[in-house]
Order: sequence, then structure tokens, then C-alpha cells
Amino acid sequence: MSRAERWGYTVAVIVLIVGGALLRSVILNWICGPAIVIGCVALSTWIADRRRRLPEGEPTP
Amino acid sequence: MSWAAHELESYFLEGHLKVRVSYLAVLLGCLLPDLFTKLPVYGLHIGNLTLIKASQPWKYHRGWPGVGPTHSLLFIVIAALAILAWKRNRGWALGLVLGGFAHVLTDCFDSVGTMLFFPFTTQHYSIGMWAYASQAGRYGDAAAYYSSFGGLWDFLWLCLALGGPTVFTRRHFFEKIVPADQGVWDWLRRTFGMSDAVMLATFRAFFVYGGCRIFGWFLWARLLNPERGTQTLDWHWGGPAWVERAPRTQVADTWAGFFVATTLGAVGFALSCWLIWRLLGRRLWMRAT
Repeated sequence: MSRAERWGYTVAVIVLIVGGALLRSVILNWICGPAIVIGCVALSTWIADRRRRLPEGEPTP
Repeated sequence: MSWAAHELESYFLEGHLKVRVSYLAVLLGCLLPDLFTKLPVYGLHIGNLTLIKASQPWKYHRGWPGVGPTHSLLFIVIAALAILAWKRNRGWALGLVLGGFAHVLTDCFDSVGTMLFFPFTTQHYSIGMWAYASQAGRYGDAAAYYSSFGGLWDFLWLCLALGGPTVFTRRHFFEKIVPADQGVWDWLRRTFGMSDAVMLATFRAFFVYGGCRIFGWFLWARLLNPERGTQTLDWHWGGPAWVERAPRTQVADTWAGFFVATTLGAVGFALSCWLIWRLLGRRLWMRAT
């Protein structure tokens, strides 16, 4: 598992447990819950991919 | 009812099955009995307005009249037959049966149980390990479930799912899960432009969600629930004692009555399966791949 994926899953777990305890069924339902996991991993791998493609020192557009 | 076990069962089954089945069908089977029927159990509320709510949630959810037949073995078999006719895929039909049976049987562990052999008998089968508490509303139910053996039951399923860790590996996913449902995964990749990592996350999503659901609700029930002073942890059989009990209806009064109903139900179910197989199932099975 890549570092980016690991970050994605970690953030998803924190959001689901802490957010779930606070917001309960708003987050902890069978549509939002899995969507949060997929969204976090998609975002973290997208960010990692973008960083890898951009040469060092080049400003982010 | 189980709060996270149904999400986790699919990974346990996937990890231990020796036959080729569709994981997506197993997951669908694990969710199917509650998929279209759960809303009126807790009710649909907008502000103070209640739009839809069963007056007797335990009867509506698990009994008859109600949607209790969705928690019967024959319903699952018929759903699998419909899937076999539609998808012409044996892996889907078998996966749906395994997932559906897992849901129906695990729901037998609460105090209301399920009508396993409906329509041949409306006898409920229940182990009574924890109190069914949907009549206390969504949050009352969560507090009761995670204050009783229900929470431990979910945790057991989390451990069982983790007991087959190879099921979560990239290799298992691309060599076993994807080929069993090539069309669906290809469609997901094409339509949403999914990378390998996101495809794998889609497969693992219900596991992460199921596991976190246990801890999220447990933390709420034990630390944030405003009524945690009275809604205490109660690990005794059939607990918690503080929750309002769902009445035990549609159960035999005597052991003799129980055995008669069970025999009738089991024979009726077996005969129905045999008839379904002879009249339609075998032809659909042979046509499928």
C-alpha cells in the first residue's frame, strides 16, 4: 500500500469514528460511510499523483 | 438487529469461500433483507413532522403482517433465482444466497429473531442474546445495542473479518474479486475514471465503514449520549435491562408447538426449493455461466 493510500484510509477512519461519534447517522449510514472511505483515498492518491508530476519549485497553478 | 455485522459478514464469507462467487453479490445479499424496508422502522422525520413510521417497529420489521418475510430463507432463494434469470451468472446467484442467509441467520441472535421458514410458519427463531430495541428510536436502539452483547457481537465479526487478512490484499482483489465481476469493475473504472487504488478502496469501503461504525456508535453511546447515566453498560444475556422490551409474538407456547412449526417450516422450505429447482432453477442454472 502506498503512503498516499495509507493517509487516505487513516483520514477516513478518523472522520468516521470522531465524526460518527459527534454526528452519528449523518455520517454513519451505509451510503455516506463507504463514500467517505472512497473519497478520502481518491483525494489522497490524487494529491500524491499531482505532487509527483509537478517538478520541484514550480508554483502550483 | 445488527448494526455493523452485516457489512463485515461479506468479507468473512469472501475470505473463507472455496467456490467462485461474486463478492458484490455476497455484499448485496448481506444488505438485501433491510435494503428497502428499514426506513419506517425508525421513521422518516422532517423537523417535528413524522412522515412515515411503523407503529410496531418490531412487528413491521420482522413479523407478519409486515416486511418480516424479507428475513426468510425462501425470500433469499427467490431473489437469487431472479438474479440467476437476469444476470445468467452462477456466481451472482450463489453469492446472493450466501450473503442473504448470513443476514437472516445472524438476525436470529437478537430477542425478536426472524421468521426463517415463512410462509410455512410464522414462528420466530431467536437466541435472545441482546434486546431488539428499534422501538426506542434510532438513538435509543444504538445506545441499547452498544450497551449490550450486540456491541460485542459486532466486534466478533470485525475480528472474524480480520482473521482472513489476505482478502484485503491488492493481489486478492485483482486476481479473485475483479475477474468474478469483470463487467461491473470495468464499468466503474471507465465511468468514474477510477485508479487501481480507488477500485481497491471501493472494495474495502464497507469493511472500513463497518469497523468504524462500531467504534463511532460505541463512543457516542458511552461518552456523548445525554442519557448515558441511566443507559448503562449491561453485559448480561438479553440485555440491556433498562430498554423497553419488544413483545415476544409469533412464538410457540410449548416445545411441542415449536417442533411442529419447525418441522412444517423446514419440510415446506425443502419441498419449495426442490420444486423451484425442478421447474425453473435447473434450467436457469444450466443456461448460466
